[in-house]
Amino acid sequence: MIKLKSEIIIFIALISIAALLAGYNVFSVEMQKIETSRQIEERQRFEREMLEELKSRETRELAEYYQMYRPIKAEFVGKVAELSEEAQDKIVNVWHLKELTTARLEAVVEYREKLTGIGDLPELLDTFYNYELEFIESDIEAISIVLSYYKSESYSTYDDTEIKKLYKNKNLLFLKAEEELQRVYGKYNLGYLLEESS
Amino acid sequence: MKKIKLSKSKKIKILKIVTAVIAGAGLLFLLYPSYTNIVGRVRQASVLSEWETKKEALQEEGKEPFEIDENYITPSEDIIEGDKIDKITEEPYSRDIGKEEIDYSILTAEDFFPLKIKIPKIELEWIVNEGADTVTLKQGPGHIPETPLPGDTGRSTISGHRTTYGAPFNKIDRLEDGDLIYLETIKGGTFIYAVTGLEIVKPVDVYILEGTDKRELLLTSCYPEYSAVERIILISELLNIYPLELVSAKNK
Repeated sequence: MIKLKSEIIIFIALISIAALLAGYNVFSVEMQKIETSRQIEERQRFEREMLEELKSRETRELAEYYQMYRPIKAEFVGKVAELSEEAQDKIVNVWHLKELTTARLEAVVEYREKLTGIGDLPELLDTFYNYELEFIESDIEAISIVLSYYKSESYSTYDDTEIKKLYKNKNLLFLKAEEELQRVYGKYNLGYLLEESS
Repeated sequence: MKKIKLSKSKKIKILKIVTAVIAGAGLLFLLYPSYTNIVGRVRQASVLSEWETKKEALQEEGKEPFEIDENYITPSEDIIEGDKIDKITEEPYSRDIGKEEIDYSILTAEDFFPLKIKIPKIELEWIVNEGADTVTLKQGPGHIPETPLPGDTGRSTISGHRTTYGAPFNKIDRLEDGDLIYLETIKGGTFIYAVTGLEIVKPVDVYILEGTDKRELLLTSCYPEYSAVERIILISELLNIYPLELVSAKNK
């Protein structure tokens, strides 16, 4: 009888130990689950914060760059508009034409110098910058050839295929640069900056 | 035959009448150019105004200046699609109409004349008609039909009076190399020429009208003023003016 009792006690003890072990196991697994979930949440929150910080940094960089770029571009556009307007009135002679074209060339060269002097170009604007520089180079080349045409004094026999090609090319590059600028600033909700200055 | 003897007072009277007639004729002779100039200029002002009105009406109808070679005027199509780029690429070529894009084989003088000639340096603005006969030249400068049409290869020639009938070409001797001459057709086409030389020739020296491979415009008139002994020939060459505009200026 005593033996039976002790066996029962041992059995109960073993059962209890097993139950405790199983309970502990379940508990630890659950705890681990909770911890993992917490860690995932934490990580997600961290990533979100990092992303927001990165985005706000990029946005800030874009806005800062535009603050420097805008007056330079506005000055260039203004000068060109002024010269174009003068050219719209009847030009009296070729000398006047050469003068206006030279001023136009100087304007784009000055724009190139100022643009390349800005520095701290946000990585996001690499494509825009390349298009803009290509446009400038193409514009300089086109205007230079036009100027040499005016100086050639063989006005009607001059082969202007190259001029036409360059005009086509520079127009295309200019548009691409503008579109890229709008795309990037639009993506970072900064499109209003471009609208303000247009 | 019986000789009539006039009294001294009668002789003086006749002499006075003859003198008055001669003086009157002389005065009329002197005033004639001024009279024709005043009449010519008044008429020209009205002709110019009519021409401008007609030009505006044609532009509103959207008439093309000339038949344009399709391969020439649409450079944008192979590069990019859409209205935006088309607007831009048209611009550099719109004023560049004086060269190969015009198919002269299908054009006649009616496509060009009457056209307006403008020379800002001497403030000249007249309507040029086709023909260089006496009647046409009384109305204003006229294009010699035997010479090429404006913008074409060779020496397109316009004649005009220098001292009478409004004296449209009175000041052409004041033009210098590089000065610009604008020809505007009623349908909106523009040809711009730059002066390259000036020659004085005899009326028989028609060789001057023979062209080279250049696209030239000659303005001819009498030389010196009040004389038809020689001809003054102003030579100019077709010039393309390329736009200075930025694309963005039109599209922003």
